[in-house]
Amino acid sequence: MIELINVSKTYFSRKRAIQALDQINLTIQANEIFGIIGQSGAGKSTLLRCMNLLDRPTNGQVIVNDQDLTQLSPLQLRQARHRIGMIFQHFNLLHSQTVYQNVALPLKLLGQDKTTIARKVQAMLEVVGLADYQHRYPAQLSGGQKQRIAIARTLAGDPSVLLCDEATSALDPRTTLDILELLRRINQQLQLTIVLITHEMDVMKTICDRVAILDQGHIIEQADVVTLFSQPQTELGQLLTHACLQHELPVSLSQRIKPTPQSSTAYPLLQLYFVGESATKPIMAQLIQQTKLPINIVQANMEYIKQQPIGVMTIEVRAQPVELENIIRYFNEQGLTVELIGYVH
Amino acid sequence: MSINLLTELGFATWQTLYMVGVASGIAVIIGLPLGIILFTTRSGGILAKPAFNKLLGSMVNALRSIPFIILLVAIIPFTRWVVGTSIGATAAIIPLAVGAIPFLARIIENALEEVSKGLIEAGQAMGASALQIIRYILLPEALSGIINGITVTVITLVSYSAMAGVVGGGGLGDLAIRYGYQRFDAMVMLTTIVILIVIVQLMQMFGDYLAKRVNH
Ligand SMILES: Nc1ncnc2c1ncn2[C@@H]1O[C@H](COP(=O)(O)OP(=O)(O)OP(=O)(O)O)[C@@H](O)[C@H]1O
Ligand SMILES: [Mg+2]
Repeated sequence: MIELINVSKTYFSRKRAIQALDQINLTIQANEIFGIIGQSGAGKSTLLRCMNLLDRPTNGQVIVNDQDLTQLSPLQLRQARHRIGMIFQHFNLLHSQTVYQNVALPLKLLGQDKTTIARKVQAMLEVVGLADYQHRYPAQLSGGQKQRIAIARTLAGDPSVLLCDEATSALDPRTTLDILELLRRINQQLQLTIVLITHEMDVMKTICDRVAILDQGHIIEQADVVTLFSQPQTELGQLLTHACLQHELPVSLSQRIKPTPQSSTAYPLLQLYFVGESATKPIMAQLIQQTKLPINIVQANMEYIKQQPIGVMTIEVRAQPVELENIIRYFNEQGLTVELIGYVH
Repeated sequence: MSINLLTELGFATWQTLYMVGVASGIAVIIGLPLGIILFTTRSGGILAKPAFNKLLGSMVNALRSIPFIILLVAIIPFTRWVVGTSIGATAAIIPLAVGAIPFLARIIENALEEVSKGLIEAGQAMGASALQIIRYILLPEALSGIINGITVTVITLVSYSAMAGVVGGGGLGDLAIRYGYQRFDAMVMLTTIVILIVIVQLMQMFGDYLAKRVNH
């Protein structure tokens, strides 16, 4: 378990103070995968680096595995860090050393003997599926393989927590999925708590149990991933989740959308968000049956997050303003979130 | 060339190698740790001691700014205190080493600077101590740069050693001056130049070979 209590971090650079984190309170449960998302400069890296004191908070407590890291002596802190793994966007492998030597590093730091090291390195390379790569050098590996080696290296130290700083941001989408799958697997097999920060909502959606949104040093929203996607509470939350679900409308259509109707032939364009149960009900069919209105589906996307269906649909309704109100009320009654995008001309 | 001259050439070559070899050894033994200290005690470094770092840095700079020929003479009392005499090849080793130490230290410091900050951070995140970071991360990662730096230093020492004649240190440079300049014997001068070129060339090749071997 990781607990941050009133954590603030101010950087002082050339007389100017930058408040990177402001009174953060956060509890991350043992064995969960916790995501922290936010825009560039929000303070994500700083927050993560406070969790192993690579950055020391200006104020507040950082409690990991029942120890307040801010109260430890340098030696105790180093010992605590042995149990807190960290992986990085740019892998940070030793280029002068083979894969084997890289993975062996945390074990050497612990002063373990050669046979133990050999056994553990072999086991960890097997976990990440690169047992045959022992004698290669990092320069001979792809980005995804390098990250696997970096993961094997942290796992060798037998951590209870794994901190991931944009661990997939340097990788292509396919490789990103492979790495996320690996993280998910070790989370389950090794009972590891994983904290990962990213600016990619897709990563959150794929792997996280819970998510916090960080904005200008504040946690503005915190929820399990399904709730966040279905009912984002803040504007930024909506922006991030909606952008992740919906695809851009074709230009030929978006050019013809105006915020208000300017002729009698203009039709409203609605965006509907379905979650869970509402996504499985024949809502559209019922609406068409009842109102006999021509409804045109412009775009639709349905995804499953943690086995929960979540969808977004853009529809064009050939209806007059009075009827439109009724339709929106109908959708709301069915548990859908409705947004009027504008009018198509 | 007479047999006599040939033995003299051979002896001078040996003297040069002896002076440069021992001085290089001393320079590495002292300059390498000094370079590591210069790098790690910088502000933000793993052993940050900014005030100490500034002091040490200016001492190194001061020593580096003294022209070698002046250093050679200026530290004669120190040389005499260390080796018991201020004349001869062994006595020349001391100023050579003293001149090379700050030079090498700065080169080592630069080589260490090339190691990515991320790697040091990864080490800290793993709970490595400062000494462990030096041993397991900084030195292995900077090794090829360090080897290149030592090569440059050794080759610079070959050229410094030509001035050792001033304190009776002998060596190839001294021979070239005695025969070529004072007796107008161009042949001897030319031969010593060729020998020096070959020595430097071999050192460079060996250094490059080693640096390449550790570079993956
Ligand atoms: N060492 C530092 N010195 C001064 N300011 C810093 C330092 N590190 C970070 N900051 C500042 O703190 C704020 C938060 O930075 P941080 O790196 O945590 O953001 P981030 O959310 O990780 O951004 P990104 O997505 O771009 O990585 C930024 O305004 C940044 O400029
Ligand atoms: Mg960052």
